[in-house]
Amino acid sequence: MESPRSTNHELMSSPHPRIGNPRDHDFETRLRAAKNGAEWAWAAIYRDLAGTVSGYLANRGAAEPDDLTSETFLQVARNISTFDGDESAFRSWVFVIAHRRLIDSRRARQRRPETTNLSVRTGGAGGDVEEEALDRLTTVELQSAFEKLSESQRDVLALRIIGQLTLEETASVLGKRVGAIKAAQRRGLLALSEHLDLTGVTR
Amino acid sequence: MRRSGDYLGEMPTTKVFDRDVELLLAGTPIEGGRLSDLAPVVEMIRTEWTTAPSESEVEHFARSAASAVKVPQSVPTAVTTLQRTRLTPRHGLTPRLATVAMGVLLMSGTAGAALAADAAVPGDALYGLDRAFERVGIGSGSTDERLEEAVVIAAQGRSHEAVGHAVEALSQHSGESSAVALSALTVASENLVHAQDTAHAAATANVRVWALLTYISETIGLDRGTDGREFGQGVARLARDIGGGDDPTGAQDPSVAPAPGQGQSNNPGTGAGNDGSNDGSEPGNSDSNGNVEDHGRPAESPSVTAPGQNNGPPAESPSVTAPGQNNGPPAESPSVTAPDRENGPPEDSPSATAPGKENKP
Repeated sequence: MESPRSTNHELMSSPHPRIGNPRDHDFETRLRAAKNGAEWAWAAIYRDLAGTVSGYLANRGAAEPDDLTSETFLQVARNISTFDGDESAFRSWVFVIAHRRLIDSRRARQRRPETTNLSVRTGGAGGDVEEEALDRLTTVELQSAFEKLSESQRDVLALRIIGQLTLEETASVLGKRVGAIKAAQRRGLLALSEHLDLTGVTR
Repeated sequence: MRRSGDYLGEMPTTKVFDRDVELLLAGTPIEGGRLSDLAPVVEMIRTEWTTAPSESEVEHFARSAASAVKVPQSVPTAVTTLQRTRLTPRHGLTPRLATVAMGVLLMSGTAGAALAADAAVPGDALYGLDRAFERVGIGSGSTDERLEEAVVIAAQGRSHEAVGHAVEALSQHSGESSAVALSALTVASENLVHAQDTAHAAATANVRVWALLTYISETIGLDRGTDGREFGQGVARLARDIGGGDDPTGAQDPSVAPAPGQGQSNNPGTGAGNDGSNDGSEPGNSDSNGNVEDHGRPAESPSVTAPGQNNGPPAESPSVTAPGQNNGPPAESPSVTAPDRENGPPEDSPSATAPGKENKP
C-alpha cells in the first residue's frame, strides 16, 4: 500500500522495466538511425519490443504469434518513415500495428477469438521439472480464468501486463479513454482473482 | 498459489484501488494491499507469455528490417533528373556494369532501376549500378547525395567506410566549408582509430561519426548562408568527440549546435605513406571491374587523387588518404568483405580491402 513510488505521475510513466531493454542510445538517435535503415537500431527495437509484442499476440489468441510478430515488425520497418514521436508513442504505434494484425488474422480465420486457446509459451522459463509441473498446472488455471474475462478486459490486461504499456499507451492503442482503461483493468483484475478462487484448483 | 480475500466484498475507493492496480501492474510489491495476492498472478502472466527473442532472431530481423526501410530519397527522383541527363558520360562504364545497366534499362525501365539504384549505398548490390547511372548522368551523384550516403553507411556501423565516403564526396566539392569539413574528418578518422579498443568505445565512436556526418550533410548544403565559423567549430567539436569521453549525448544530436570550441584542427600527415599501398593487394580489388572503376573517377579531380590512385602525393591531401586506409574494417562491419568490393565505390575499395593493413603514419 505504502510505497516509495507513490505519486501517480511516476506510476503512470514508469511501468515495469522493459524486458531486454539494453542500455541504449537515446530514442531519438535510434529512431533516426532506424529510419536510415541502420541494422543496429532495428536490432535494438526488436530486442526491446518483440518479446512483449509476441507475448501479447500469443495471449490474445493469435494462431501463429511468431509469424504475426514478424509481420508486425516488418510493417513497422516499412512505415517507419511515417512515424514521428517519442518512445512512448512509438511503443503504442507498434502495438497498434500488432493489434490490427491480430484482428485481421482473426477475421481471416473467421473464428471468434474465444474458441482459440491461448497459446501458452513453453520453455520460456527453465527451472526444475517439479517446479515446471506446478507452473503448468497454474498456467492452465490461469488460462481458463483469463478466458472468462471480457474481450476488452483481456485486451487491456494483456497490453498492460504483457505489453507493458502504460495506461495512456494502452488507451491510445485501443482507441479508448484512459478512464475506460482504468475501469476495464480494475474489473478485469477483480474478476481474475475471483475466477481463480472459484476454480478452486490449488497446488 | 495463495488466494485469499474477497475483493468484490470490500471494494475500496476507486481512486485508492486504481493506485494499487498501477502498483500491481508495475510489478511493485504491495504490502498488505487488497491486490497483493494478485501480484504472483500478474507476474506469472507476464513471464508466461513474454519471451525474449534470441539474438539470431534479432539479427535476422534487423537485416530484413534495415532493407525494408524506405530511406528517404535525397535526389528528387530519377524521373526529374532524367530531364537533365548529360549525354556524355563522364567515365566509361566497365563492360559488365554497362551491360547490366543496359539490361536493366531495357527490361525494367530506366526510371525504376535508377530509382532503386539511386538509394543504394556502398556494399549494396545495387550500388555499382547507382554509380553507373550517375556516370551517364542519371541520379545526380552530387556531393550532397554522397554525403547522405555516408550518413547511411555510418548508421550501419561502417564508420571507416563512411568517413572515407564523405571525404571522397567533399574532395570533389570546392569551397571553404568542404576544406573545413575535410580537416574535421581527418581528425575524426584519427580518433576513430583510437576508439576501437573496446566494443563499447567502438560503438560510441560509430554513433559519433554518424552524428558528425549527419551534421556535415545537413549543414554543408546550406553553406551559402551558413556562418562558416560556426560550421567549423561544430564539425571540429564533433570530430574531437569521436576520440573519447563518455558523454555521447553531446555528440549524438547533430542538430544541437555544438558548443564553441577551437576551429578546425588540422592534422596533416595522418595518412602520409599509406596511400596507394593497398591497391591491388587484395584479390577482391583486382578484378577488372574494380580496377577500371578505381581509376576513373579520381582522375577527374587530380587534387584529390589519394584514395584511388597509387601515387597521389600524400602531402597534398593528407586528409583524403587518412580515413579509410589506415584501418581495417571495424569489427562490427562484417559486410566489408572482398566480394562486396565489386560493387563498392571505387575509392572505398582500397580501404575496405585492406583489413590487414595497419596504421603506419
